[in-house]
Amino acid sequence: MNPASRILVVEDDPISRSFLQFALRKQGYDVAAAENATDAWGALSPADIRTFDCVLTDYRMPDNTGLELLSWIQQRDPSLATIIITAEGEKHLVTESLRGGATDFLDKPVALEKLHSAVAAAIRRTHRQRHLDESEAAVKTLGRAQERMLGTEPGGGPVRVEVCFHPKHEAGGDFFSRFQPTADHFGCLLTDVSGHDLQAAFISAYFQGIVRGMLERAAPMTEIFATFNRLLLEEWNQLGAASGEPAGIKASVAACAITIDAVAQTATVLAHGMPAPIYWLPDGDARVVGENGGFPLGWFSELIFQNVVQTVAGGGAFCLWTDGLEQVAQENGVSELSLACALQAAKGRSQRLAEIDSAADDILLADVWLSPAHLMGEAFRPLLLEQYYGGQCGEIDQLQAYWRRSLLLAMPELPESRQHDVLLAAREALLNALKHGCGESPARLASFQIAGCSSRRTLRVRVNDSGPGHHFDLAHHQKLAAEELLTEHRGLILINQLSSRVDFKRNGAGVTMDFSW
Amino acid sequence: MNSHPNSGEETLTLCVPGDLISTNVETFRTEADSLFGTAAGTPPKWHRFILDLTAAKMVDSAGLNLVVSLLKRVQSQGAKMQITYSSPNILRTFTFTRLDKHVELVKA
Repeated sequence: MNPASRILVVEDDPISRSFLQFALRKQGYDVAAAENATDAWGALSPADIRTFDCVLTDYRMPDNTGLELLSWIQQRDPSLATIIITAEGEKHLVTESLRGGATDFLDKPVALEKLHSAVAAAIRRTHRQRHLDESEAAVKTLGRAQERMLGTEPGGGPVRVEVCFHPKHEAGGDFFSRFQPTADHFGCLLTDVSGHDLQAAFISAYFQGIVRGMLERAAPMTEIFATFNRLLLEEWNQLGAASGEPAGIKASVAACAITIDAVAQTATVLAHGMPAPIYWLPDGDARVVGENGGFPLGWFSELIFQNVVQTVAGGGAFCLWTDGLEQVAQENGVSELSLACALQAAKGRSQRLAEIDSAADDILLADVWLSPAHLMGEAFRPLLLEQYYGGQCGEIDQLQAYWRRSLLLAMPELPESRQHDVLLAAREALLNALKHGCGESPARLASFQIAGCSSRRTLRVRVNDSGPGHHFDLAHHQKLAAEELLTEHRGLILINQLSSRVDFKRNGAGVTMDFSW
Repeated sequence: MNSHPNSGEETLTLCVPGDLISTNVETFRTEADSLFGTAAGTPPKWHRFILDLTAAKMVDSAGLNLVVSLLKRVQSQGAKMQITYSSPNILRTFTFTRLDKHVELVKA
């Protein structure tokens, strides 16, 4: 029993009211009384309602019923437990009362023992609920602080960063840091701590502090990764071992760092257990930098660092994300890049994308722009970056459906007629590459890209294969197909006629098509 | 069966219940063969062939090539070919490939 607990007794019968007050005061409670629901509303004013730990109310009162008072309380403070007292013949109200949120009910005449146990349980429930409410509010505050901190650290050089963070819960284990170790070097670090609960948020904050400190001492990224790995193995994953808990992998950190050398105009990518970042030029030509996956930090003591160097003389941008984004893209049958584009666009409109409502993990996404700000709006952004084997001709309908879903998500403004043209031309180009360029061989690959630029209202499709191509006279074939109904090269003719601009390279082994609207 | 000869109106109709594309074009080529075979005669009893693409939203190059081969077959019989469509994308495809000069296009 908590002697400081405060109870409001609501009872119109003075004898019953006095009995309840007496019985509860004798137990050490601070008891206030009201003759009816109207009096109770006055006692439970906004300023005072949270000073009460329990309400004990009669069901039948002259002005309102106990159930109506319960409903009024539920709207103002759902954490305040309410017990309803029912008389003989009002048993049918019990179910209704419990459904309405009542904690318990007591029969008249009220037995002392039942009164004490019901009140004590109700007070415990109120305290527990209020503690949960406070914890939830604290976590929300933590989550908001995390979001504010993402990518806002000083440094980072002449790059512009757009970060988009969607924790599964109020706070998460993903984080993003910018840094500038020297005047000519700058970059960013994106990390994903295993789990998406408060522990993950705590570990995330712990490592964020370490990163900050090491970066201020201009430590190389390989040293930071090695320190992460050592701390995870020697400290975090050994926690509790002294108290008999089994040692094991309790926490791991996937990380990807990009360091830009402004003089050499290169970007060095170092990743462990993280999806490889995508780099693209302002014309939308994109590539994966490094390899996807691998093991995260905290698993093995031996680390093999594989720095991948990418030339960035043409400006452009990097996009990197945690695996939470990949899971959502897979569930929705769309490309990661189209989901990334849609998430950034939704963020720009201060909206939340419905597709991530069912996300099972935190999602952290960052665009790192190297081009000057005034050129960013004119740049193409990759929406699909795929590689297909020569043997995938039979899957073309499924591939086309995947492109369609991705385009609808990333470019909802694309008119239906233009969507048809893009899909049909892309289908023709890819089938041509798989059949003729790759010879339908499962060992040969064709690359496939679609990029978009909203401000130019243009989509750009690139298809390349490793074959030699073959010479053709498009104008001549186009004339023969129309006039003499010859069937050769009809796919190329379609591509030429559907697109706003087409550029064939290497005898048709590479094609770039623009579709404006 | 999506195709049927209609001797009363002296037409043959081949109905395609969706897109006419590389992955299903052989099915309709076989169906057309069967249809023309059933309706064979000397002289042919039909004078019009209708390709019903009302349900189609896309016709790719393989689909266009089937249309061309059907057209040649129909013309060799001294008959006419008509295509019914509902999607404006289908009309555009036949217009810019200039097949509209050889086939009567009718909006459903």
